[in-house]
Parts: sequence; structure tokens; C-alpha cells
Amino acid sequence: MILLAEANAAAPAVSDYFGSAIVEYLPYFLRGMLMTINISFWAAIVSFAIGLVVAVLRVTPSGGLKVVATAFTEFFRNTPLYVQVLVFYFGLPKLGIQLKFSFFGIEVGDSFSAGTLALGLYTGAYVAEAIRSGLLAIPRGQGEAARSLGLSVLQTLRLVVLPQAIRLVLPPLGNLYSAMLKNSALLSSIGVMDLMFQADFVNNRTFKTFEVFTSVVFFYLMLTLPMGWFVHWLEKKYNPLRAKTLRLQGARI
Amino acid sequence: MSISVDQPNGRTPLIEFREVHKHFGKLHILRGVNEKIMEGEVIVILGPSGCGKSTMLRCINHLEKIDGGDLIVDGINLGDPHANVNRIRGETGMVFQQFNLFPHLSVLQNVMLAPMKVRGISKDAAREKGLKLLKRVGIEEKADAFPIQLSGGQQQRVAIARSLAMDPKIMLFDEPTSALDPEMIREVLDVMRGLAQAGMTMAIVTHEMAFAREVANRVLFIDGGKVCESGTPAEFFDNPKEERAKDFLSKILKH
Amino acid sequence: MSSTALSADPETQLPALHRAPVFTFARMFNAAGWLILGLLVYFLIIPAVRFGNWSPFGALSTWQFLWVGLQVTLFVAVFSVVISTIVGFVLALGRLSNNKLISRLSAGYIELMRALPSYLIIFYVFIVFPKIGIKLPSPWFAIIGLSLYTSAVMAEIFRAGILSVEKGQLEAAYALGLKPFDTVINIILPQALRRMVPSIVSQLITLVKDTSLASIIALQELTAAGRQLYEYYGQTAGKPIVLETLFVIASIYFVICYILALISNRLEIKG
Ligand SMILES: Nc1ncnc2c1ncn2[C@@H]1O[C@H](COP(=O)(O)OP(=O)(O)OP(=O)(O)O)[C@@H](O)[C@H]1O
Ligand SMILES: [Mg+2]
Repeated sequence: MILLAEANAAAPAVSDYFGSAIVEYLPYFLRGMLMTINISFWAAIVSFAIGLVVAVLRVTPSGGLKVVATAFTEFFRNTPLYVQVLVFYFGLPKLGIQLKFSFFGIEVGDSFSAGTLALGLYTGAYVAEAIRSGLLAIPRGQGEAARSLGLSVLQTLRLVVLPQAIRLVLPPLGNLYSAMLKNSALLSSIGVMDLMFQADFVNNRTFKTFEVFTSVVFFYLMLTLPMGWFVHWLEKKYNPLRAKTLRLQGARI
Repeated sequence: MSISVDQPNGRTPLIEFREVHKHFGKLHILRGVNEKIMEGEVIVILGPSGCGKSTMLRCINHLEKIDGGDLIVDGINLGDPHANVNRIRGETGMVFQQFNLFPHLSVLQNVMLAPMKVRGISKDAAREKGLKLLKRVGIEEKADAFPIQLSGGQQQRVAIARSLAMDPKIMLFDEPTSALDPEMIREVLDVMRGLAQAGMTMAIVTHEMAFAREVANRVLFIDGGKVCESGTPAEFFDNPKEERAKDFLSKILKH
Repeated sequence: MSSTALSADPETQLPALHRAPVFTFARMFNAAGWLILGLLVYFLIIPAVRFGNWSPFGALSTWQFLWVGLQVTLFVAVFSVVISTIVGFVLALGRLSNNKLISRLSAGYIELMRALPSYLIIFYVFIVFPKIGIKLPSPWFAIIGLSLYTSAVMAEIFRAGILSVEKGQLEAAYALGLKPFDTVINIILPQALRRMVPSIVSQLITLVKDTSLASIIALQELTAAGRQLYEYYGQTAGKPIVLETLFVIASIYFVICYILALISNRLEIKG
């Protein structure tokens, strides 16, 4: 930081053209981008684990856990992510959970763990619903046929039901994770030093508001557009029939 | 037009195909179709599955664009990019295999919609006309029902009435009875027979051979993307000239 | 194998795990479920009720304060959904248009908005708009920010609805000579709308939740009111009520969103 400031003072002429603030503060943006990727990655792991468990619990007829699983999805889907983030941010220390450690050179503090948990659980609720509807969409005859061939229940799930469900579920999951990466932007409000945080920081330093936020748009596009293409590719790969009918219908008006 | 002079009976051709071509991607479906359909004629189009019968009909009212040749419908050349397509559509009625009634509108509303929106006639006039047409197809008591409440045969008769409401110069039928149970086929064919007797120009794709023989003035046999044989039903069914037509007839008349 | 083992649970349509002889975890699952429920109650809910400071929520003035915030939340959400529906419809028609330029422009806008965090878009409106001389009351900044994003989502909902109408319907309309505009208004929309209403209600839920994003910047809505409430009590009265307030706020959001979700489900089943 100090080095940059000195470099800035030594060469004032550079900082005048349009976009100069961006070039000058590029390391900040890049660090922010890494943080966005980092926290999204951990939240994705949390959400997939929780989503899978909750989905299986919701289709398994077992009283107590079904109630917990249903309450979980309904609560996390019907309250704002921001409120959940605040709950974790203020609530974790109250429960005596205080995390502070260094991770690949990044200081992980309360905001990181609260953010990862909140984002992971919020997304997990949606993941659970996506997986659940995938499981429910497999025709009953599939399970029956497998069972009548002599496969066990677990074999039926593993060899017949899940492989079909995954095809149905992958594209929506891709969409969810793309949404999750975008949602991570609001974690800057509790001090996660992600792309959005750095943008705010650079803006407060340079007051080049328009330049800063317009370039942040591009930085986010660099992350989300490839994800969108990937999801589209998944759709085509696993749902060619639907993609085809859509194209054939192609109702141009 | 000079072409009308060629006609022995002096009637003008309502529709004329001149070297019409149509592709779907790499598939070359129509490969130079030449044909004239006169006013008042009832044409039945036959041919093996996938030979382009539906495509031919759909080109006539421009649901498909032709990509070569001229297709003149009521004096308008559809090969011309500036052709007034909406006028042609209003004057050519089309009846689909799957009826395609509008599920959110009542039977009467289905019939009234196009005259009001396209011809701009008043609601009362449209209603009067609609009821008259529903009576003509024998279904006026169902005017306020919704399509889903009707049997297939009734739905198809409504679809015919809906097309007639535009006072079309020609009616195109694409396998109108193929989606129907046998006992309902007759009621639809009866309506079509009535239309033919009233002098309507019709082009029909159908698998009902007895009906074809009875009402058609002319049978077109399509194969290889062309009109392979054309003649009166008696000539065609009893004495086909082309090998492919004989082959086709021997297959369908077997059962 | 007995015939029951082959049958499927009617609700889940999965092989009946609980009746299958091999699957003996079922009871353990069940027990574990009640155990977790018990632990949650014992370690979270009972301490929260016993040690929490709930007295501020006995006062009417607290609720009046929150009500003011809630009104802003609802105002912004409702206006945003109305504006986004209209703009989204136009964008959907644009994207489906035969005119290449209009189609590309609409698609470009839709894809851009869908690729950006809604928080960034709202932030952008709040921070950049005043700098270029646009001055509005903050609810309107929030409405603009939310609508920029939501109209793109609505456009995709409309497009999917329009494309879901069978091709035969279009052909029948065209065969009758209806013009594209009349076809959209009289044939496609009435059929598509029924299928779209559940998605639109879901989007309203998202909007109610997303208004809280604007509170991070400047909007005085429900979440902001809650934050002010606990900051005030923490500073002046020396009684921290952070989690209590957040619980109350979350419950209010939950009730609104859950009711909307129920409506959406009901419509989905009917349609
Ligand atoms: N929209 C389309 N896109 C691609 N190929 C098409 C399309 N419509 C028709 N075809 C193809 O064109 C060929 C002719 O189709 P058409 O429907 O005209 O045949 P048909 O003679 O009516 O057959 P059938 O007796 O089965 O109805 C078929 O091979 C069909 O697969
Ligand atoms: Mg056909």
C-alpha cells in the first residue's frame, strides 16, 4: 500500500488519464477477485454437502430429520441473505465460535467464516431443493424395474436413480452456483475483502467512482460469464432434448 | 393472366406451383413441383410418409417459405419477398391434424377471433357469423363450451368452422382425421363432403381412400419431391401408370 | 422378495426405503432427527428465550418504528415488480423479434444484467447516478437498481412462457391471418401468463429479500430500521439486542415470503 502511494507521488502525471485509477490499483482488484473466488469455493463445498444431506432427508420418510430438513430449507429460502449474514456475523462469537487463521496467505477472520457459513447455508437450501426435485422427477418405474431385477435399495439409488437425477440436477446446480458467486458480493458489507470491498476501497481513495464501478462490472463479468457458458454447455449436454425442442419451437414473433 | 387461357374449362387457377423447391437444412423436400389447382377443384394429395405432403400445403399459406421457384396463390407470388402474406393467410383456411384450437377461448370465441382481428368486423356480426358456421358444422349447442370439453371430432369441426369464418377461397386439410377415433372420422368427413358439394376449393391430405375416391376431382401422387402422377380418382386408383404409385397403392390397399 | 419391497412410496415416487428389508438405518435416522431437533431447542432456543433481552419488543413504539421500515420494503418491492414486469415483457418481445438488431440488443442487456451481482447493480445506481447529476429519493434509486436487474429476469420468464406455448397454436393463428401483435395478445399471452404467474410471484419473493441489499447502502427499509434499533439500544441503553432484533426482522421477512411462496405453489398446482 505504502509502496504504491510512493510510486503514485513520484509519478503524478500517470494518474490523469481515464482508467488510471484502475491500472494503479489493479493489484487490489486482483486480490479482491481471488477472495471472491476463494469464499465462493468454500461456500460451494458447504452448500453442496448440506444440500445433498437435506435433499436425501427430505425424500426419506423419517420423521424427525424430515422436520429439521424442511424447516431448514424454508427458513433459509424465505429470509434475506443479508439478514442471515448479520445473524452469523454477530451470532457466531456469541456461541463462542471465533475463527482466526491464515489461509494461503489470506487472513481468515470472523467475517470470512460468517460469510462462508451464511452463503453456504443459504445456497445449500436451494441446492437441496434442486436435488430433491431431481430425485422426484425420476419415474417410479425406474426404481421398480431396478428392484425387480434384484438390485438392493442402495444399488438402485446409486446405479439407477442418482445417475439419472444428476443429469437433471446439474444444469440447475450450475445456475445456483453462478448465483452464489454473484451473491458473495454482499459479504463485503461485513468486511470480507472481496472484489466489491476493494472497489469501495479504491473508490473512497480515488473518487473515480464511474471508472471504478464500471471496471468492477467487467471484473465480475470475467468471473460470471464463463460460468454461464459452462451452465449452457451442461444444459446442452444433459438435456439435449429440451434444448432441441426449444430450438424447434423457436417461436419467432 | 395468360395462364387461364390454357384451361379447357375456362376456370382460373387459384394456386399455381412453378418449379417450387423447399429445403429443411440439407434435406431437399420439394424438388421442382409443378401443379395448378383450379377454382372449385377438390384435390386429394397422396404419397408415402415424409414425401412432403404437409410441406406442400404449408407452403401454400406460407407457414413455410419456399426457397426456389414461384408459388402463385390467388394472383400473389409467394416467391416474391414483398408479397402480402397476411392477405394470403386470410384467404387460405387450414385445418390441422392436431386441431390446434385455442384452449383459453370458448368454441364461439375461437371462431369469432380472426374475423374481428383480421377483418375488423364488429363483435355482433362476428357472433352471428360464428353461430351460423357452428350450425353448419353441426355443433352450435357447444358454442360456449371450451375446447377441452369436446371430443376430437367435435374439436375438428370447430376448427373447420374457425377457418370458414374467414371466407377462405381455398381450404387446406392436413390429415384432418388422423388423430380421431374411427367413430368420429365420419362426422368430420361429412362436413368436408358438404363443403365440397357447396363448391369450395379444397386441397386435402388424407389416408381415407374411400373418401378420396368419392369427393376428389383429382388425385396428386407425390414422390421424390415431385408430383409423380396426377389424374382422376378412377384413373389413379384403378389404373395407376407410375411404378411407384402402384407400389404405394398395393401397400395401403392391402389392409 | 415380498411385493411391498418392490412398491414405491406414493409421495416421493422413490423405492420405499423405509419398507425395504435391507435398509435398517431408517429408525436411526428418525432418532437422530429428533435428537438434533432437541439439541437445537436446548442450545439455541431455550438460551435465547431465557437470556435474551426481549423487553424492547414489548413496546408499541418499537413496532411502529419497524412498520415504517417495512412500508418502504413493500413499496420498493411492489413498484419494482410492476416496473420489471412491463419492461421485462418488452425485452422478451425484443429478444424474440425478427429484427436482428433489436433481438441482439435485448439479449445483450438481459445477459449483462443476469451476469452481474444485484448488489453491484444497486450499488452502482446509488453511487454513480448522483455523480452524473441524477438526484432522486433513495427508494427510487432502489427501485431503479432492482428493476434494472429484475426486468432481465422477467424477460426470461416471459420468453420461456411464450416459447412454452405449442407451435401449433402459432400456426393456427397465422393460418387465420392474425398479425404477430394480435397473435401475442390474443393467443400466446393468455396461455403463457397462466404458466408464468408462479415464476413472477417467486420473483416478488426475491425482490422482497433483495430490498435489504439497498439498506447496506442508504435505503431506510426494514433491515436498516432493525440495525438502527439495535445500534440505538447498544449505545444508549447499554443493552445489546442485536440477535433478538435480527430474529424479529427475519421472522417478518419469513412471514411475508412464506405466504407468497404458498400462493406461488397454489398457483403452480392449479395452472
Ligand atoms: N420444420 C422442419 N424442420 C426439419 N425438417 C422438417 C421440418 N418439417 C418437415 N421436415 C421434414 O421434411 C420431410 C417432409 O415432411 P412432411 O411433413 O411434409 O411429410 P408428409 O408427407 O406430410 O409426411 P407424413 O405423411 O408423415 O405427414 C420429412 O422428412 C420431415 O422430417
Ligand atoms: Mg404430414
